[in-house]
Amino acid sequence: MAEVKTYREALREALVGELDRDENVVLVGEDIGVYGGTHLITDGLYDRYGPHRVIDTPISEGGFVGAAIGMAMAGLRPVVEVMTWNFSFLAADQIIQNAAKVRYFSGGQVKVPLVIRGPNGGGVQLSAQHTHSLESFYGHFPGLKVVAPVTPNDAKGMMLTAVRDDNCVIFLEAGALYGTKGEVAEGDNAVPFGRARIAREGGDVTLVSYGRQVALCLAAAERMAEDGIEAEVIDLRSLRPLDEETVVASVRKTHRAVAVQEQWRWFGVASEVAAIIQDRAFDDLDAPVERVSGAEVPAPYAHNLEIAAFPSVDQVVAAGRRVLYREEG
Amino acid sequence: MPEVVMPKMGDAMEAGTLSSWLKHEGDQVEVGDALAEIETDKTTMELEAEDAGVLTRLIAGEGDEVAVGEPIAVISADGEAPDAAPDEARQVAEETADSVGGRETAETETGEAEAAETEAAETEAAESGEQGARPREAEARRAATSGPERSADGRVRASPVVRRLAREQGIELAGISGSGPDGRIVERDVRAALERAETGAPERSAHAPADAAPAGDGSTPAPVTAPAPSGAAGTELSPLSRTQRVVGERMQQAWQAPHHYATVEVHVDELLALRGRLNEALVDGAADGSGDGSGADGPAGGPVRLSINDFVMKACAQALRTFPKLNSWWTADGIELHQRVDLAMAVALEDGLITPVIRNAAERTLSAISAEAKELAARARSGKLRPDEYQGGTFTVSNMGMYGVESFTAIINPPSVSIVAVSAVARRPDFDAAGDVVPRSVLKLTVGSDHRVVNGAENARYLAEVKRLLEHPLLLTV
Repeated sequence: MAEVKTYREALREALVGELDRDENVVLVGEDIGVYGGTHLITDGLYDRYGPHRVIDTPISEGGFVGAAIGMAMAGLRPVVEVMTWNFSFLAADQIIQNAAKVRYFSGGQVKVPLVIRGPNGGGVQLSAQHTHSLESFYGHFPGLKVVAPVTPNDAKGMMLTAVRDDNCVIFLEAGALYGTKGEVAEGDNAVPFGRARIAREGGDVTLVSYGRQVALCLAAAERMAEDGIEAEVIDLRSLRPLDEETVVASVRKTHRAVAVQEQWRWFGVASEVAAIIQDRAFDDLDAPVERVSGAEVPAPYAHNLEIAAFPSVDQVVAAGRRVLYREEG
Repeated sequence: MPEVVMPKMGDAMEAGTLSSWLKHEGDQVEVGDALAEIETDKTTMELEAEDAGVLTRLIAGEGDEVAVGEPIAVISADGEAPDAAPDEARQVAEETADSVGGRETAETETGEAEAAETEAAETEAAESGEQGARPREAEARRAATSGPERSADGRVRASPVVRRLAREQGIELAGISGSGPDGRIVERDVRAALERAETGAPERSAHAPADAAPAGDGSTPAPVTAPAPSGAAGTELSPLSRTQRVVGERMQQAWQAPHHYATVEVHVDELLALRGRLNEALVDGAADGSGDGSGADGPAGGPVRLSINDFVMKACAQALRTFPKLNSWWTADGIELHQRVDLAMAVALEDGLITPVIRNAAERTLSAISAEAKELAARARSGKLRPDEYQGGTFTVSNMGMYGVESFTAIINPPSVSIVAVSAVARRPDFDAAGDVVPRSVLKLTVGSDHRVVNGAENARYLAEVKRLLEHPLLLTV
């Protein structure tokens, strides 16, 4: 059974399910309780579970993330909301130095079953300081898991998996898509990490992406189909661990790949994807792997400039045609 | 100066390997002289000269694989001065360079090619008295040559998947022009080349948009998709021989046909008795002249000794008269029924199998079928069959009785639509008509057919007819 729900409702459903299932699950964050959450993900949960399980915090990311790490070490399973991932820089020391390392330092004796979640990326005119895609930043550190679901169904299913994981999970939500709808499986639809989703099948070129850019790739694939090019769209959804097999298998089939990301080109997930492909599917490549990335500038505020600074359908289509050695269309 | 090119010696032939030269550079050759031995995926054949003259130049080296239609040598007519024409010299020089280009070490050869070309151009210039101007023209002409582009170090630019396909399909990249940036050979170029090799069509514009889409129309045998080797300890990788590759591809294509099978048990006591009497008589007849009377299987000329398989082949062929549908080809335009039964028999080779054909088997006697089967099998095993001897079968018989196999199914041999699998004779207790237990020799036959052509009931009726003939073996002698 599946019902159409928004990304926001799907996330909330997962949190409710876990709060009901396990009394050790607590929610922590700014304005998530009485106010209902800046993005209304936790709307109504304070009334339902009370102040001991839905905990409002001061405006102090380093403080409340650190506190949540302590709760996790002591046996709770906190889910921390950062109002946007941009504010996590204030808590980066806690996340990188403690959440990612305590289990390692303690020889596995002390686990940190912690989820840190919030909207990632741009697209809603929040300007340079509030527009970052932090997947490669957090994906760089061993000890953290990093996921970025794009469909409501995956948002719910991966949140279930995140809460049940004994490690710190960086849960990057497609903030610009909180209101988008999709079918969400009823009940426990836990989606395992490290398994990509083939969002569209095709045999001519592989488009690899995650998060909001998956929608862009699907639109580009539709456009290319008008010219008889069948693109396969892979939604990585889990970035660490990353499902190399699905990517490699697709490229073995299509012989061409374009990796698409909203973040900047250098040191990004797309570069990692390109490296994996050349490493594991070299003899299947017919063209160099292309990357489509954000413009190398701090994100602009002006709407027209913001659009220009992010990957576009046109850019993905052009890259897809280039790897097929087709003239620019 | 006539060029000797790699001939197309069979429908499926795309390239051949020059296994050895039988003539040397400078030898005088006559029409019909054997020039070289060519090994194809199925056999080894001698290549005969079609022109008389002096074998001026050997382009292909021994062991080289050459695509059909590509030059392998040049014969000059008597009195024609070799290398007289500058264009020829240039062409030959370039070909020399090309033939090693694929090995990516063409530097010295390229140098020689340029030297030869400059020399040729200078000869021309000297003759026309325009010294100085012509070499530049030659330079310009060389720049405009439409052959595969190379970087300065002589490497052929090709994408990784192209190099892999070239390895797998045995294609010489030097012969393909690239449509990618800087002349890079990309997948569509090599797919187009493969298609041309198959159809014999000339090269199309490499930029034709139709080429851009990956070939998926089934016209080119798709490379077998298999996982990469594990490379684990305790494993050993055995690369495919040309025969294995071709047999593998054909098998996979053959397997696409919707197979269905039916098996019968044939009582062969009567057949064995008849065979014994016939062989005795045949050996006695032959022993008068020569031979040691052992009746050993030998090529034509030795005493005939009928095998069980000879009877089965004869019966299969004879029964096809009544069931012509099983003696047909599945073709692009429909089902082609064949009046004549050209019976293919599967012969196992060391690294594959081949199906030499006994022509008009339904109309021939048991002893004629027997003699030809033995002769074809012997030459098949030594790799000496001509393509016309293993192509064009309309029905196939495969026998594993010699291995004691109790029963098996075989894959049909396209374009034909049916195959009979012959197992070993077994002796076991059975009930006779009166219900008494009696010893009986039985042989299992399994016919496999393409369900697009032959339905199950036809398959079964055909098999019943074969069984009837084998159980009344005298019917095979009239």
